[in-house]
Amino acid sequence: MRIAVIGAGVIGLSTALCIHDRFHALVPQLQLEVYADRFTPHTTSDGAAGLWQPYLSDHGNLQETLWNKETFEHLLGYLNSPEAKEMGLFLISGYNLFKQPVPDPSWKNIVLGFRNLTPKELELFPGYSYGWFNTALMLECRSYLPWLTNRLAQRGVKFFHRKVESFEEMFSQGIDVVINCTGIRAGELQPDPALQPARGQIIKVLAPWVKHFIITHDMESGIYSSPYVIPGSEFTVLGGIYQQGNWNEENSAQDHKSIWERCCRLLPMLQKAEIVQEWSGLRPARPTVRLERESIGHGRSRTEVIHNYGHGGFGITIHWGCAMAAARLLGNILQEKQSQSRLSAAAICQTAEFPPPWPHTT
Amino acid sequence: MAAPRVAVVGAGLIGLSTALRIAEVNPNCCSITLLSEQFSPNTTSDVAAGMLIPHTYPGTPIHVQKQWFKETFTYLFAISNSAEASEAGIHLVSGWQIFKNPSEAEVPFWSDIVLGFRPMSAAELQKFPQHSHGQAFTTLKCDCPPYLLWLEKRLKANGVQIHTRKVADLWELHSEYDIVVNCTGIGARQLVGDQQLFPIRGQVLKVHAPWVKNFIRDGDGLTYIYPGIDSVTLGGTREKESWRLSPDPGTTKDIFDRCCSLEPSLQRAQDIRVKVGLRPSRSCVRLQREVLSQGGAKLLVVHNYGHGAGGFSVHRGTAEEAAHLVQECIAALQGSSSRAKL
Repeated sequence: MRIAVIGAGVIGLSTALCIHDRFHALVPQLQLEVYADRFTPHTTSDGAAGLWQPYLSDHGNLQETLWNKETFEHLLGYLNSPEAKEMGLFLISGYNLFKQPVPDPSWKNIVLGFRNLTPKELELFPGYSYGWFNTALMLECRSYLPWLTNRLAQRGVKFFHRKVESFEEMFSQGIDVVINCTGIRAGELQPDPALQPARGQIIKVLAPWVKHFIITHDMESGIYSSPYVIPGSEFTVLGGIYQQGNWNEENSAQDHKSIWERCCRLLPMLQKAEIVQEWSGLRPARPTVRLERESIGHGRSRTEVIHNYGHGGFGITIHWGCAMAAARLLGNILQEKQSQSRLSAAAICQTAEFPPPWPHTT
Repeated sequence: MAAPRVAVVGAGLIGLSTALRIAEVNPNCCSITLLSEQFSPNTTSDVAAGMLIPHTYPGTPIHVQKQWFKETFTYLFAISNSAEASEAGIHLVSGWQIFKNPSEAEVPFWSDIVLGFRPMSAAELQKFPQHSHGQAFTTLKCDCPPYLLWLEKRLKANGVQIHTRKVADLWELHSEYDIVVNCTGIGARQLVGDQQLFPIRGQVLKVHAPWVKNFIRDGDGLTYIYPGIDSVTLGGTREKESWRLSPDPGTTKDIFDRCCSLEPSLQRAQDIRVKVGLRPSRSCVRLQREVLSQGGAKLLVVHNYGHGAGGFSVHRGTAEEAAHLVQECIAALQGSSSRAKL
């Protein structure tokens, strides 16, 4: 039983690990392979600062809120373990700032210590009259992706550094199930007009005296188009660019200027910070995450694809919940195939507690 | 009468901040010289983490301590919010004070001065399975050497002369200076023979663990983790009457173990440096004037020492009071000088 994961960003690698965790003991002939043309540190995930924080509103999408919660709790469980530093995982506190009162977010009870800002705290941020304080998590992909890769390699998962041109290519090589974690380029495997780039640009600086994240919000211009400052373990990320429909992965001088000026206005001490790097990336934006099964082909050459892409600017935030959901879908596929092979039905049913499956999303 | 000559003795946090305040409130009317045997990075202040979490002095009314803390916090808050913040080494830091006994978790007198003070939630306490209560807040940290070096720079900009000099006896200054401000910290024990002043030895580790962004302070503050700009300070000890300045390896391991039990990721900390400081402890800060005289000669002294574990938290407030006492001395000198003319 050959399972191929396409894509080695945070979604691809975590889905692969989750699948291996769940099924390797039950399906001994399970062979897991990862295909990608970009690996860490060259994936979209590597450019993200790594802050766990969903968007302000879940638009009633409770499914995604649940996946966010599952991810946060999964990561919290690793916080006091010896693995945390190697994973790039640590607690961080900080501020979300607004120019007017806003409703509390769907994630207020997921993060730790969520509260409104006091008037004295707001003095720190002229121009902002309302805000939140909470403690959340950082998961830096330049550490987390290598950590996931090592775990997978230790378990004998094979990696293939090449671009997959089509699902058919995989099936013709004997792959039984494809897990499609191709992020922004999913459209190259199967057109999806709902998937659009939301281009971001960031400046990485040395500013070790900044200990809090600061995310500002402009309710008119939209998420991440207002300045933000996110301190990592080594560098601090300055950003505030969200350009829908822009496929350009080159750094823009105009965006640099905009980020720099607005972040320095927000935090004057940044003027003295040394710039270390600049990066642009394409958030794989979609109205909802595409996490569903699809059968390709007919009759005996019928094969299965599990799609897991379109996580926009919250891939790190939601990744583990989605990985588990993808693993559940694979469980269903394996259960169906067991009537064709000699797998034990009981063994599949006994896999680690599967919560009631949500309806398939489209 | 010629402009009064003021000498400030001591270049730790108290000496530097006091000299600066004197210069600020007396811009043109006196000459100020700072004398010290040691400068940053070799002062007691350099060992401390510089956290603005007050120590309670049994001999000082709470409302006075609160006023000192408030003045200090307000002053540093403004710097932290300016372009100078990185050079001055002042930054905000959030974190938790955690307790094993509910009785320890009283609301302290300074809770409304720090930012966002509140009890920790049950979810937050899950990170500390051995602790049942806690308080979360945001406060300021003064990283040394940067803060001390920034103060030195401000002094020079204010025309203060700075000289390296060991003062063995305050009286030796009487011919060169009219007013001496004694900010010698633990050195005052020998310099002025103050038996009420005693060291409380503190050993700390400064480690490289830049992923630690929140502070953790356990109970009464014996064990703590304070993230700074380039290092995290792990502490500590409180050894009364110990004058030993050399690090103790057994203590190092003990501090490291205590801190790792609160923050397991510290096991991966690198570049561990050990430092020792002698907190200049006293039941209350000695903030008072004194007149020394021999023969017909006089020397006016203002004492500002004995801040123990709480120097950073109150330094601006006590500097303010000391500067005020210096003004009184100047007025006294001018008064007696005009009487001399009659």
